[in-house]
Amino acid sequence: MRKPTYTGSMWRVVAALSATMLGFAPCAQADDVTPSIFTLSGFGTLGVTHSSLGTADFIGTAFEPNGAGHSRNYDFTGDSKLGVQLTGQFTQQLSAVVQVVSQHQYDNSFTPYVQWANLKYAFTPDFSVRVGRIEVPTFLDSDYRDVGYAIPWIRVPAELYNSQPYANSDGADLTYRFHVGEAANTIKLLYGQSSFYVRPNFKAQVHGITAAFDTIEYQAFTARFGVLHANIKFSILPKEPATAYTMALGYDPGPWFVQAELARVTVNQITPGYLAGYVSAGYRINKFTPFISYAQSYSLGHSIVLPNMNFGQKDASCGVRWDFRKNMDLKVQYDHVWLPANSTGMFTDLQPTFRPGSGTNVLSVALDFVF
Amino acid sequence: MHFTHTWIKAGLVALMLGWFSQPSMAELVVVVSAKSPLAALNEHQVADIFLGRTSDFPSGGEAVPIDQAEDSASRAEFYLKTTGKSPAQLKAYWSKLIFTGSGQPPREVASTAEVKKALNAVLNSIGYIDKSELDSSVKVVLLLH
Repeated sequence: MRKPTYTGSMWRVVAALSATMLGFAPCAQADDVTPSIFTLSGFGTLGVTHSSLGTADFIGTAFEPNGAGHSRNYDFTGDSKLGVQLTGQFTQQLSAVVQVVSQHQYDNSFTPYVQWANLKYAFTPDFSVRVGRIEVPTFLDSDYRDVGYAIPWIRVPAELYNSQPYANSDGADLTYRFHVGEAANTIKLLYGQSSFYVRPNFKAQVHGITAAFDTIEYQAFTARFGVLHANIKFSILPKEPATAYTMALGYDPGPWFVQAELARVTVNQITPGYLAGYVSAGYRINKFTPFISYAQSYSLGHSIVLPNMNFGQKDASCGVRWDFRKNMDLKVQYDHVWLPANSTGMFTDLQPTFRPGSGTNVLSVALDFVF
Repeated sequence: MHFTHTWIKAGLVALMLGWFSQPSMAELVVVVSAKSPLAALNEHQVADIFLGRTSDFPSGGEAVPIDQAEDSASRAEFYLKTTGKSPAQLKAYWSKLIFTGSGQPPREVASTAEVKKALNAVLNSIGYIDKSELDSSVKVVLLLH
């Protein structure tokens, strides 16, 4: 039984996180006397996860090679991450953003990568075009899923969010916002290409990503509809069409919130296709926000040519967020995860003793910060 | 049964304490330059401008929101009354926009005097100040109770 050790790179991450919090947090109060062209911001999470299932690993994002359970009793890799962003506002119309993120990846490293790097030209405040590496906002929280401070939970519901594993696209997008009465309606069109590694030496190329999203915001209501199409090429296999239809609804009047998403995501021949979604609600009591969620992915049973035994997963969770100081929160979350009889779900590092259809109880603690 | 009731009562009291212990201060007013043609706005219109959901006033013309200092009591109260959001919720809201490169929060100035100065420097600016600090350089477009 091999137990991967994480001492080296984990300590580097811990050191980087500590340095960030000690070094940057106190001077986060920007000096507004001389507005600068450039703004430096950042976010990060230090998290630890324990999973009761010893025959496989519970992971936070799609292609981590190991996590909590079999490999590590207490896992720091799944939720810990650090992101740094530099924006430049050159003229009222022209701006640029570069964002670099370090998190646990397919190759078991925390090698930083460029998540976004794009130029934006705003013809008007309501009509803009971007060129470069741009986020693919497939789901409601996709584009800030790594910013723990911006989401109510420790991590976005994997049952939905991991069904679309690439977060950025090299290409262009166009955003147009208009108002109907007091409702703001934002339309986004995106075209580009991307790639991602399933594991070392197994790369997927994503061609011709074409997507349209419509977001309606009216007072405390948010509704969002999206459609995304792309062609994915996995090593020697022919190109296969991938399609996602998504919808999201949210209501957040302040003292409480409720949010739900539903999507149909298919990748021909590669996955059985999923109908996935979640519903989550929380209630704010001063600095505490307790929440409950239920998430599920349901297999559509399409034929597949690759060995893929993820035929769905369910997750009932509860937890609390504590905004204990400015720009920081502490979260505790309990997840009960279980699988349909023939499914391996999203577990990884499956051991010979792993039984499809089993489940686990996961306890996680995370410290989120922004600067 | 008796224990259950005690716990429910304790829970309700805790919730009510949570609810009513929100900061409550003096009256705030949403203001523009005295020279601005703008007449009146409602809370939702003001909220949309300060949350970056609209870049124009309902009557037309670009709106430039001006924030008070991040830790000021006026700022916390203003957002609680117009958007229902606490300072932490607001920070989370802006984090979503900042880290996707899709928006930056309003420009921030240090004091009420600076707000008035900003409003008169750029005529389509909009800010909020304590009612007691009103003077002839600015005019009220919304009174926040």
